[in-house]
Amino acid sequence: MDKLWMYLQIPFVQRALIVSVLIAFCSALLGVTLVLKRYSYIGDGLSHVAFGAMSVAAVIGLTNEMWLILPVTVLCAVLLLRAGQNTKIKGDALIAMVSVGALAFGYLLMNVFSVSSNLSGDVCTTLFGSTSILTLSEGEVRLCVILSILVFVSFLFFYNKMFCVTFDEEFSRAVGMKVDLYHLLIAIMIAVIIVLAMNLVGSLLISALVIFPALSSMRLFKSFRSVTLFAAAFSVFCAVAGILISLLFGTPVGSTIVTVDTFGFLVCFLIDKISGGIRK
Amino acid sequence: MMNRKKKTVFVSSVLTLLILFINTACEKRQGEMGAGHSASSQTGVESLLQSGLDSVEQEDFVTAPGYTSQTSALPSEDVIISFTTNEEGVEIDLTQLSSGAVYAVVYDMTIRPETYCGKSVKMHGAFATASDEEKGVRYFACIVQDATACCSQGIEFVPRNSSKYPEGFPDVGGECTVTGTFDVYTEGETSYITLRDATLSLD
Amino acid sequence: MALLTIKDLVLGYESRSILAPLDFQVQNGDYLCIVGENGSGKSTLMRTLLHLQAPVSGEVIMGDGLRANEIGYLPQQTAVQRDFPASVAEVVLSGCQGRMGLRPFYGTKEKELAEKAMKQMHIMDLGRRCYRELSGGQQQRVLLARALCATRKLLLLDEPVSGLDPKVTAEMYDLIEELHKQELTVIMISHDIQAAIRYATHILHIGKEVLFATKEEYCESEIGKAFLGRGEQ
Repeated sequence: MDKLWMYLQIPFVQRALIVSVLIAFCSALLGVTLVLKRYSYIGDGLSHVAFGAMSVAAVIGLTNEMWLILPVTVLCAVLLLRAGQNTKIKGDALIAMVSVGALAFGYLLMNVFSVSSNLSGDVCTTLFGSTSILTLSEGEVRLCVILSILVFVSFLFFYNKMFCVTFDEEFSRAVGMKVDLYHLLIAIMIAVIIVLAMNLVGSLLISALVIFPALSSMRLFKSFRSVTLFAAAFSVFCAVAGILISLLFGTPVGSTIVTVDTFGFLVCFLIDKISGGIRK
Repeated sequence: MMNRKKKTVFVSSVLTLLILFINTACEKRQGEMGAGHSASSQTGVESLLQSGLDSVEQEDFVTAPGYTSQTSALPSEDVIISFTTNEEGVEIDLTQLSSGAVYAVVYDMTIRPETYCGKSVKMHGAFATASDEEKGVRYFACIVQDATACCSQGIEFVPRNSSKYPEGFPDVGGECTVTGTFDVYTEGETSYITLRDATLSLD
Repeated sequence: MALLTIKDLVLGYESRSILAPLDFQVQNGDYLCIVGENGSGKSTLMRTLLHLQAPVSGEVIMGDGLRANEIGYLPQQTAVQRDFPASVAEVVLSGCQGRMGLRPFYGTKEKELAEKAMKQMHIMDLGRRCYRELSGGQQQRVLLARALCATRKLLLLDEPVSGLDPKVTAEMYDLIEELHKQELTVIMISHDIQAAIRYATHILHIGKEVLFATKEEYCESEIGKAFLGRGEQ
């Protein structure tokens, strides 16, 4: 379509596509591990923490908010992933507490200290990511590229170790692997991706980026490697499709991406059911 | 046990510092408030609209006195939209874009106005107006909303013909298409963006 | 020197002991079965042997050139694992992680090791199958193959036949016996005292009283007789 071609020429659309491909790719990779460890909702929890940190940074008046958002989110990721190891219930409840508390606190701060002229707009954009992805500067794109490459390279390098730790933590410890180090690594990667992904789909919808590709992929594929690869491809496809659709039809970017993800999952679910679930 | 904790804290701090260092080295945009990207520079109309002034009277409108036009000669380093002149001679035709894209461009205009100075802009949106009783000045603006309709952004415009309002103008909230030349002016300490020599067509 | 020497080992949590001090040795080529009541501390002992848990006091000394990353472990399965999307080959290969250090990718040596382990467990034909589609018995064999990859000398098994039907249980015991015959030292936690008597060389009974003895001595002892008697009823 001509319109599509026109959009693809626009620099801010190109930037949005580059960034969303990278973010979708990385979150899908980590999503498989998270879903298997039953930490699906951690994306949500961490994004709310990031929102809270962002409010604090705005109130303090930091020019570059990343100085506060990234460390706080990384710290929370480490705490949440560690605490959940002993009892699953603890992990669940802790994520919920931190998530809701941070969101409320952040919104309260922004209200009380009125740092922005359009409070509900700000909050709405952060929660739903309406246009943040379309208004990225070159610097932000560069940061995203560098961080995504770092996450991807780490993931590749530690892939086999993370598989072993995710599949069986006890066994990994017994054979002398530094399980805590890998947990820390996963926590840091998650935190970085979450903070980046807030730009794409906003806080409330981040879980979708993490969960849907992994679940869709696990319906169809039998080995961990193929599950991971397909999850990444699925996520990238849905993100690109979502952005293009939202540009063409004037729909909100974040929700469109998540809706495409949902349809994709349904398609995979149906294929699985129809083919009887057995496929080489 | 203590050793492991110390190591954990050390490793996470090092990695975080590294990431932040990279971030600062790359970050070019300064002075942004809120990841929600709220407009840090206001349009004159918005400030008036927010203070609740909205009187519809027939009156001569006067251009805001005491302004200095700033056609900045800053190089457009970080351009998010390409300027290609269409058949009408308009360089930035926002009527071809969907609401999300339009909002993105308008938002960028409020953040980096120097990139757009002197360019001709055509945009479609909701008509708004307000008058400043003290200065005896009437402002006009074209308001666009983003796709979720929770944020709106407006650009003031200065009509070419000094006609009497409300003749020849749409109702407040009505759809209109505005074509004008982008410019930045200062009133007191605040900069405002506007479209000069604007032609207005009603839809 | 003995493969494993347990000296005055007191198991427990946070300086609260759950058992009398343990004192025994495991020699190369032994087949030790740890039996006892439910909750008596068998799994705790195994975890302490693997250094997954610190004892209240006492030592676990590894001799004969045995290193921590040379012990094969077959823990009880978790719900997460039963549903895990991974191929059998991937699971077995992951057993080689102990000897990988920081190396990111498996080499030919590791792949050959995994193949050998799969052959020993008679699961070569299952290589590409998805782990979660296998039966309980097949899954246990895969996990045993994984444990084999991690070890050259010592295998620790935590209730390897729990939840398996009798035929599969017998097959599993046969497999373990084969491994034992191939010079692997086996330490196994089992609820099945009859099987323990049949296959083991030594028995460690944990409960109100602790007894470490050879199979024959155990059968003659008071504790052994009482436990066996109960089992037969």
